Amino acid sequence: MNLSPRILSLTNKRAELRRLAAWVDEFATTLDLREPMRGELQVALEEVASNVIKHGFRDGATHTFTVALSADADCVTAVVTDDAPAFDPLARAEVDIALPLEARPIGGLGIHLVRHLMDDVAYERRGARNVLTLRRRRGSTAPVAEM
Amino acid sequence: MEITQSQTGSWVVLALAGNLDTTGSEELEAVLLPLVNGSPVALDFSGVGYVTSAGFRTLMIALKQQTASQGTLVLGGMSAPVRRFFDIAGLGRVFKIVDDLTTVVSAG
Repeated sequence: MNLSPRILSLTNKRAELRRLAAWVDEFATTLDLREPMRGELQVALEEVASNVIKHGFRDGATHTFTVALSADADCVTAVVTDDAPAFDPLARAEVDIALPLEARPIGGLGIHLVRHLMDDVAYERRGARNVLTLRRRRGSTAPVAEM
Repeated sequence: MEITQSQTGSWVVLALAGNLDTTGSEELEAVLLPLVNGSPVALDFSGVGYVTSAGFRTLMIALKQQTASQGTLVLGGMSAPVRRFFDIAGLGRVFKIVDDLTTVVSAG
């Protein structure tokens, strides 16, 4: 089943994450997406959106950013676009998940989850915008090494 | 997130229903953190759909607090997709995760 892009506008407020989750859920239902993909998409999008909300804008003003979701026979694609200062979340070093609990930084896990839950994640600075594109192949489950 | 609290012997059991996302983990944090003070706590994940980094953050704070009080925190009843989130996060071995909580809890 193909779905042409649907776009949700969000403001940089934490409460918006609730609206995002409801919207993604509706998209997943329309597409008849099953677990584990459904939850994986939810997690990846919450991580990306909460990064934009918490860290994207430093001026204390209200900003709008968008999440677009589309699907074709092979792939579900999500594109998150904001006009915050240039920031590539993928440039951050991988978190060391082998560290013992006491030494484990409590942040940094979000983008790690995004990288590993999606098949492809790409960042691009387009003019004054940050564009993060997430792709997840339908029907595949990336193998996870026991960690 | 719907959180149902019960007591079995010395164990406090929280049955979670919903998602451990930003919203859900704030709700869990308010209930869980006051409980992890040394007495054994079990979290029943059978009603949980997914866990985000906000959820892991809450669970790690609870585990650190419980470990500091020499208490036990056990997680159980996870679906395969939820278990997979723990493995991807590298937390599958950090938390004590069991298949069946009832045997652990009823053993004392």
